[in-house]
Amino acid sequence: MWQYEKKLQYPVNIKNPNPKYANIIVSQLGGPDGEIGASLRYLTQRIAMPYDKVVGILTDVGTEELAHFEMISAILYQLTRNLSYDEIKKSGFDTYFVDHTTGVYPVAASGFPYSASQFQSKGDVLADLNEDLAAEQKARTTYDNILRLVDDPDVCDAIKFLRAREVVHYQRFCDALRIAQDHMDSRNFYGYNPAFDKK
Amino acid sequence: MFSDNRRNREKMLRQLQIYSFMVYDTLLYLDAYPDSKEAIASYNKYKSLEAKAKYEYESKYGPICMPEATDSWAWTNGPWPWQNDKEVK
Repeated sequence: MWQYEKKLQYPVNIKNPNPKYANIIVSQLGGPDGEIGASLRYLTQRIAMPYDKVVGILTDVGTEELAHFEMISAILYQLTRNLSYDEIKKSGFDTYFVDHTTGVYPVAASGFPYSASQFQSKGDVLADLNEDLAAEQKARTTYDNILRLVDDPDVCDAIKFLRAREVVHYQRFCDALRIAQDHMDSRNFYGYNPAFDKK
Repeated sequence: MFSDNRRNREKMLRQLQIYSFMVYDTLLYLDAYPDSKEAIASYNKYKSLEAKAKYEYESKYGPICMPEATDSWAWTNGPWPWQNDKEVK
């Protein structure tokens, strides 16, 4: 089970609303490399994972992703306060506004709503862990791209924290892959899938 | 700009966030390296600092975690973590 802690993992204090930035950053909520997809990816993959330490890494990283989902939500909330109709129309936020007003909804910046088709739980140790490594790098790239487009220091501060966590998670998944391979047959890692085949 | 009360609340929360972060980052490391004595020592150190900071914050500004047995219900009192505009000015 999970319990809520009534605090953000890292502070989000944005002084100046900016709906254009919200339009971009919403991708890390519900986009292809967003935080809710990351959390669901690890929290589903862990169930079939046969190695305890790797289950631990998937559980704890998947849980931290929920805290990141909350941070992105806080960023979106604070970027879209007290908007005038004029700001909504001029910024291009109108296409989001018409469907969700200023409610927080997991959607990609391109407008595609969050879908579980954006990740896999393959039930194969090597396939899943390699997806996780790639996922962390893709999320890191998205944060790099956000930092290329945003120049508000309040926003960048929180985004830089999230970017750094992608790098740390990548390192933990490198550890997870090594741990898994230590359990497997080094003469043929692909000879059997320890999450399914009996040896 | 802000009252001393808000400044102090933010300061105490920031301190708690720093300790919680150290705890969680060390937890992730220990998942992969459970035999690291250095990491265990760091985990224990920050876990106790976190508990102290959490107790101090909660006794002043209300619950972070589901409250212990209590006479009055403060869990639903704002501000919620994303509502920095609704914080006591």
